[in-house]
Amino acid sequence: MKWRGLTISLALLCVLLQFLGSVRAQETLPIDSLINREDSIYFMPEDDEGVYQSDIRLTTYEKRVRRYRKRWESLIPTQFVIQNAGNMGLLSFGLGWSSGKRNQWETHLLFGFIPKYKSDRAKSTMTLKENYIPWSIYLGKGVQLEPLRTGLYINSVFGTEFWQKEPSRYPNDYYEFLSTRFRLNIFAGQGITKIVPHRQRYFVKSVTAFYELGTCDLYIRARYFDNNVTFWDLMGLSLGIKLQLL
Amino acid sequence: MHVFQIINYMMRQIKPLRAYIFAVLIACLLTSCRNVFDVHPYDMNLHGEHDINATQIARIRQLFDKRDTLRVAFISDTHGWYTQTKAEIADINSRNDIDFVIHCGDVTDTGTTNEFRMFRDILSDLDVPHVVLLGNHDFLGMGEQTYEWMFGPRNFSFIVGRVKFVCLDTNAMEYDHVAPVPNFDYMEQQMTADSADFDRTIIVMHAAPYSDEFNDNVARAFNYYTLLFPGLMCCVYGHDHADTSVRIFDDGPMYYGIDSAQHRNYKIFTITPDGYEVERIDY
Repeated sequence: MKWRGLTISLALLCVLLQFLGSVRAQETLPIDSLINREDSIYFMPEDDEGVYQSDIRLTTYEKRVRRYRKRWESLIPTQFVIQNAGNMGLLSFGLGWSSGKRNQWETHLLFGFIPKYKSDRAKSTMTLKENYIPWSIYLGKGVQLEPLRTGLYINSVFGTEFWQKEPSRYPNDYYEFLSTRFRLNIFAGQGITKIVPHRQRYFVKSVTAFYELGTCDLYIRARYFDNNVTFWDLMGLSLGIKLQLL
Repeated sequence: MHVFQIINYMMRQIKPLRAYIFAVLIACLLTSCRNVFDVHPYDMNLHGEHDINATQIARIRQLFDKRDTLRVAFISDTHGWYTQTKAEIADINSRNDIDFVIHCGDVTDTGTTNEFRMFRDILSDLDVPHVVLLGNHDFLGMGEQTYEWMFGPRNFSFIVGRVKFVCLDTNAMEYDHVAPVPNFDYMEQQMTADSADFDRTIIVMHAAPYSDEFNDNVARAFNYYTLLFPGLMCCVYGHDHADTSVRIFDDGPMYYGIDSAQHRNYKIFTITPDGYEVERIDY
């Protein structure tokens, strides 16, 4: 139950962040920026000193509709992500939503697969991931460095072998950890972004390559029990690519 | 045509990162043979030694089958305590009087592929042959399948020096008591199989009768079946993390409990033609 509660609250948090992000991202921005505004589906100038300024007076209804559209618009995915390993499967791919003033928050919904390997069948997984990218340093020539990307994610693996909470056959808290299905992971990494110039843009606004070093609750638990655990037994490397669509 | 245009365009857009993407693809291919990328805690992405019990039993039979005295070390419940397990194995290696080792189960804490791999690495340092039973913790996630790949069948037996060691999966609770655990058919078959080659029997299991994992409804039936084995000497079990020697059933054999690695002790059984002796070793 604890896990379900945590999952729901994390999901709600993500949605909330989207709304906050959409409200905040209203500043005037340089041309090659990555902020959402220029791609907005409504294009009537609001407070700009444009030629139509004197002609347009928005009614309360129009303003409300605009706000309404804007809020729902924040649910449109802005990213496509592909990532390997990271306790999410051999390869995971999915959609992402960026938010925050500087797009410093990202929410990813990923689907991955685990090959059969030595088991009897392949398995699929689903991940809800929240990233925080505190700094973006513009290096010139459309290249931007993200010296830190960090966050946490919950992974769920599908299959009858895994249980969400201890089945009733066990006495309470028979196995101390919570679930074999859900894994809580934490990570830290870096990324580098190439912004696609306006005239070459067709579908992708920017491409980011990133790596992450992460671990999951089970490995932290093992490390807590016994420090005779090597670095790579605790940590895992994950590489990925993110395409910024909006 | 339009789709091809899009692909073409996207390829051109990601051109600056082509080398990186290529590297990622290569890395993905390498994932299967590197510990660096964690596919999933229960991925069973394993290579190297497997079916260890069968290999080790062949070794045991080859080395000690003609002996009339056997020195067997029983260890158990090493899960999570890597430092202690290493010390335990170093202690066994430092003694030159142990013929082989039987691990009574629970080699992992949460059944992850990583833990199985780490345990196998530690175990490979053991100089003497060894077999490993399945413990209840080893079932978690894909643990049961990992055990079967790495060590072999859940029930197994071997004969050495005219003594039959019958190793049984007694973790009934892991199957919600719906699987035939303990497997009486297997026990019945083992009573008579190769009966010309053994005179005495030792039964090894992870969870003893009346423990939380055992199917208590068949505890007395289990006792009855154990008594049908030729020359039953004793039963050995793990799971309880305690060094014990008890007679669970008034009319049954002695049950010896093997302590966990956490408490830093194990037992050595000296099996002679006249009987056996049990010795507790602290390390």
